[in-house]
Amino acid sequence: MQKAESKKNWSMTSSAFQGVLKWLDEGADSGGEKYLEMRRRLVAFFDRKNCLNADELADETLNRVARRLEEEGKIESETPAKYCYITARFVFMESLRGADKSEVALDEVLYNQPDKSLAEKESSDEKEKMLQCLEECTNNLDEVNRDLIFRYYYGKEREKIESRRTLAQDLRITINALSIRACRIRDKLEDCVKKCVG
Amino acid sequence: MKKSYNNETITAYLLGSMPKSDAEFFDELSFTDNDFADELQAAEKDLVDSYVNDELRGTTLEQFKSFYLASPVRREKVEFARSFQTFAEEKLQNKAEIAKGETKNKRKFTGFFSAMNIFTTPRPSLQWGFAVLALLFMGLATWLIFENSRLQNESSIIEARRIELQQREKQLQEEINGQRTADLEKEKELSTIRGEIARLEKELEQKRTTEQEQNRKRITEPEITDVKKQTPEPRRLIVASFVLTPQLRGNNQLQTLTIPAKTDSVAMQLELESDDYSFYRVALKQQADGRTLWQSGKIKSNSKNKTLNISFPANLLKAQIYSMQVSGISDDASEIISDYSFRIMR
Repeated sequence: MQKAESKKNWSMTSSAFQGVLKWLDEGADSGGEKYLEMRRRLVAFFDRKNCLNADELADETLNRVARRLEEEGKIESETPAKYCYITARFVFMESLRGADKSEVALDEVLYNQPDKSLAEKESSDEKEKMLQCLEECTNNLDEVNRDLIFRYYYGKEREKIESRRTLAQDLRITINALSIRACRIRDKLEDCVKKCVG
Repeated sequence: MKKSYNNETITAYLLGSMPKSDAEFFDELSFTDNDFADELQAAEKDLVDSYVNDELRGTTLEQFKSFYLASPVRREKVEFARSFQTFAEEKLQNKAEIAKGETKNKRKFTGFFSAMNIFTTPRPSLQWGFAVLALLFMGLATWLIFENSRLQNESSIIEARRIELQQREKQLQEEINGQRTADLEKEKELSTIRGEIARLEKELEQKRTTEQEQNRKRITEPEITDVKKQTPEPRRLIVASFVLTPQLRGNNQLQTLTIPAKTDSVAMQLELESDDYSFYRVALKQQADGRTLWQSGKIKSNSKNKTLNISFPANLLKAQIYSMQVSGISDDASEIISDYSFRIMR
């Protein structure tokens, strides 16, 4: 009981955070990239499970991993990715059991009438702001990436497919590699726009 | 390892329509398989774009609306995709308009070439104008051809003259070379003459000695002593010999002859330009006043090498300019044929 209490009150320290970074890097210094990627995957996982507090659950998962690392000194039973997944599943199940009050069931979510709210949210001011931010963020991209992202999203249906095929040929990469590259540029852009819109 | 997913299964996973066990497998893959994680992300964006572009139909559209849009995070993704589509379309449209503008400008430029159509359009005044202009150009071209031909002719003449001069230069050079060879031969001959003179002097000395011995036999012993006392020791005869060449036209340089001190006699070999006379006479003249200092008798030339050999007392010559005048003597008259000027140095 005391142990459970101490676990609940545990907060990430600087040394614990460094420990997680090092553990996720598996010997190579990624400069925090691995940590960010793992957090993105955790948020996406919880979001796919329709958890409204996906960010909090992702942080909770990483806290648990850090605490375990601090306690044990090392985790060798699984790879970092697998261990994070296992921990995330526990966190998710706990959230389903109502241990965490922020967990929201899918049925509740569906009451939100997404399309309607989305339409309401799309006010002209917000749209304007978003476009301004997009302009700013695309200008921050280097020329090659800017050109690639625009060409990738050129056209509709058949035209779009042809355009992407041509683009992949120009870059001498496969369609699959092209879509992944475009996806990463778009992620950067999306992050930038989110920060810009505030 | 065989890929356990495709676009269809990924879409089903994203729309929550996949059996639970399969979904759990994909959950794990989304952490442990980087390729799957990448493809999942890309497929999600394509799905959202398809929705935004109104490309989803039937069950997929229904599932998208009921499941995918249930999450506020995913709704934000849709919102972003919509804005991004609008933005990208505007950008591409602007780009296309700029490109179109450039093409238009290009066409304006190429309009110059289309102006050439005036030749095919019937416009009599313009066509007459061009005809006159064409005639003028033809006239100009003809004049240029003639002028060119004239200049070519002049060039040919100049070239011929140049070749001629070059040949003359070559010829003169050969003559100079020949002269040099002749000079060398003369030096050789001079050296032979000097040798001959030395031999003659020796011979003369020997004769004198023999003569003295004979005289000694004829007189008594005391007389010999007296004779010895009275007769001075015979001095050796010193002869300076030179070769004079006829003066070349345009060559104003005088030959300078140095006569050593105590020279008794001067021997000269005069080279003749041609050997047309049976006899010759040579006169030594002082150039300052034309006075004749010495004159030879009628002498014959050495026909082998066309030369005249003379000798005269050395004391006739002082340090000044003289000339040796050669006259050819025929049966009825004589005429001056050559003049050899020289400067004497002492």
